Amino acid sequence: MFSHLIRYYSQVYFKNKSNIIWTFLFPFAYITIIFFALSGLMEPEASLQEEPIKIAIISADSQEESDLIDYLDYFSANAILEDGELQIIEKNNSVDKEIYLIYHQTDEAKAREMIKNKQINAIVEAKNPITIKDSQGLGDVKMGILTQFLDGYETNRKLTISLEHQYEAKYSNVDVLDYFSQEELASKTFEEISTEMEAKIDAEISDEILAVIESQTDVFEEQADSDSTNPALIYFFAAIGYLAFYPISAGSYTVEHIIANQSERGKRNSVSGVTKTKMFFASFLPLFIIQAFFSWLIYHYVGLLGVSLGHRQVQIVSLMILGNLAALLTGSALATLLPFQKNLRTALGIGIPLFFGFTSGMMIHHIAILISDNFPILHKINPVGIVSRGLYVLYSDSNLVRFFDAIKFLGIYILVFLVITLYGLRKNSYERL
Amino acid sequence: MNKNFEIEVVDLVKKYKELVAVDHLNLSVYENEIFGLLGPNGSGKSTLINCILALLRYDQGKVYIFGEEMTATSFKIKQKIGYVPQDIAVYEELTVQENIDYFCGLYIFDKHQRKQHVDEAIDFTGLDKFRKFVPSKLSGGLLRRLNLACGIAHKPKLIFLDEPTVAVDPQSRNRILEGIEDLRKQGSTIVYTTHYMEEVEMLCDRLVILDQGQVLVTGSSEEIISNSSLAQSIDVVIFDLTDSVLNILEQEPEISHLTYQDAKLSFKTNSNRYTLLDLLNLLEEHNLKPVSVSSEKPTLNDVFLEITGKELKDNV
Repeated sequence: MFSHLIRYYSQVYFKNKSNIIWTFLFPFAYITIIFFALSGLMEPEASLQEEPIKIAIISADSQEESDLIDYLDYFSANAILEDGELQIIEKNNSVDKEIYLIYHQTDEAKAREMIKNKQINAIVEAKNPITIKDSQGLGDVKMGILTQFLDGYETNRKLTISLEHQYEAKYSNVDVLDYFSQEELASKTFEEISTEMEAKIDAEISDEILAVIESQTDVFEEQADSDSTNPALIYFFAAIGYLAFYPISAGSYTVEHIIANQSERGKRNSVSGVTKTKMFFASFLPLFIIQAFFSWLIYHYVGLLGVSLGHRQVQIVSLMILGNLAALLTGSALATLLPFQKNLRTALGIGIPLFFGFTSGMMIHHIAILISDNFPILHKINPVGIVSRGLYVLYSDSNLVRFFDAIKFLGIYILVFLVITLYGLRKNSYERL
Repeated sequence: MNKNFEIEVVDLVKKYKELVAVDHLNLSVYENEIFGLLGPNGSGKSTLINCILALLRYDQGKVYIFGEEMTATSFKIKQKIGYVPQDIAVYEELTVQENIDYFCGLYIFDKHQRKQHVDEAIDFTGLDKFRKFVPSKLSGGLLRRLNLACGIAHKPKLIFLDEPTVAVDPQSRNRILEGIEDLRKQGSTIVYTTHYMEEVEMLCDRLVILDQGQVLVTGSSEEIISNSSLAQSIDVVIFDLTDSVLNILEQEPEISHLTYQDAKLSFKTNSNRYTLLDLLNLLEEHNLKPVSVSSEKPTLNDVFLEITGKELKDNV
């Protein structure tokens, strides 16, 4: 019986032209369009190599300035103003490295004159915290990248300070008798004792330091995430999150054709001796498998386009599949909750993924931060946001702590909508048809 | 509850807020009969069927099918029911054969048995040439036949047919009507709703006329006509009709609208109280020989019009 239902429901789904378009063609068309629309953002290195970001560094603290320049030297070059233009005078320590940023050390008055003359794009003040005092002609993308460079510096600095505190604290309480016996102390020179003790302490605390690095990295990344993440990544991950969550209407369909008050077919199916729960799962299962397969295809297609979502294929595809599951169950729950409002359901099927996509930064990346600050619950339960944040943490985090957080929230969402659907399906007769 | 009934509806009440769609309705359907449900639009026919099938919740009363109370979870009873809804209820994406196989598969699990049932349903509805057609390629009449085939392929004991011949060409209509008669011969009980009076007169063993959710009259079409107060028209061409005979006829309380002009005697009579035979006997007693005699009985449509005050076909 179950296989009979699955066989025909799969056929019905596959033979429907609109399903072919919306399930099979739309995701590829959408991701292709998004890719080309964001191609400048997805490969910032290429555009940056052609035209690096030019900044003036003004100093409020000479130590800060020195530290900042040390950091920037990994991907930038020092320059002087010559003939009205910045000329690189010194490339960083590796000549093979690409230059994404050109900096010029000067005072604020001179820097303001340079920005007025369009000789630089931004003025950066070296202090704690690092600040962009002014900018011109950078555009969203380059501004995002510059901000990310500087955030990287901030993260690095905070981590270093934190480690220093941890390390110093460890050394400050050291008792030499914890490491050497009196006999050993008597038999060794001071230099030998010093060297051996340092090695022992290093070995002991290395695990702890690693843990500190991990935890601090998480904290700093959280902060970086909320302040300014590369907009290209937010756009792209939100777009994939939207794709994972868009098949809401397909979810509605799994219920529409089996419930008496939604269609004539539903009436006829309801008169048969087969339970609606069985029909629902028979209708839902092939749809879910198809969607899951297409999520896997989308992952590889994105790879073919040259966009790397990271190396964690299983986790990435799992996240997208859970997004599909959340969408399908949202659709089925809507169909049981709004049996007579088919037009409203269609509108919601289109509108809800767009709304969640928008609030997770699919169109304007700052919206995600605004929502997070002002509507934290919406931020937490937004399935598109959960998927896109999940993709981001899979891309950026060394561990899976935040990924499992995303899975947890998505799991709760799925469970709630599954319960709503099954509860709605339990109703066997209706007030009106 | 009577065990001899296939369906028994007892004191059924269904309300839509203030509107009473079914009003303390009682009816019974016997085994292996074709039972007609007649009524103008909004009379409660579809609501009644949906209540009997437990698709609709009702406010009061009980419905028994095959001697057991029918509820939404009476899956064993549902396995023996076939339903042909008024609107076409098939999958546009499946072919004729696939549609019939799908719906048949909701009742018949054995593949070989199902295949046989599907083939028989296709033959039965004359859809053999259209097995591989999708519904969008079928004419209205063929679609109706497919709709019927999907509802009866599993050979149900009890079949509900909700206006199966609406908007169907005469050829398909005759085919469907013959098929319904055949289904009864195969042992099924059929509940049939229609707007076409001649179908009811031709097919149904018994019928019920509903209006405003109430049963107005029930019985066979002959019983309903004969029990109605409608008169039969009698016209007799006769020369030399005597005044005495005319006086006798004028005194007869069951006769009205009596006229005799240009050798034509015309009057109306209640068909079961003063018959044409009574008139002929009277004429023979007075040695009078009529040249020609004709009578016109009231139709079910006349009865329906009289009972409900509405023309049935006008409401289609």
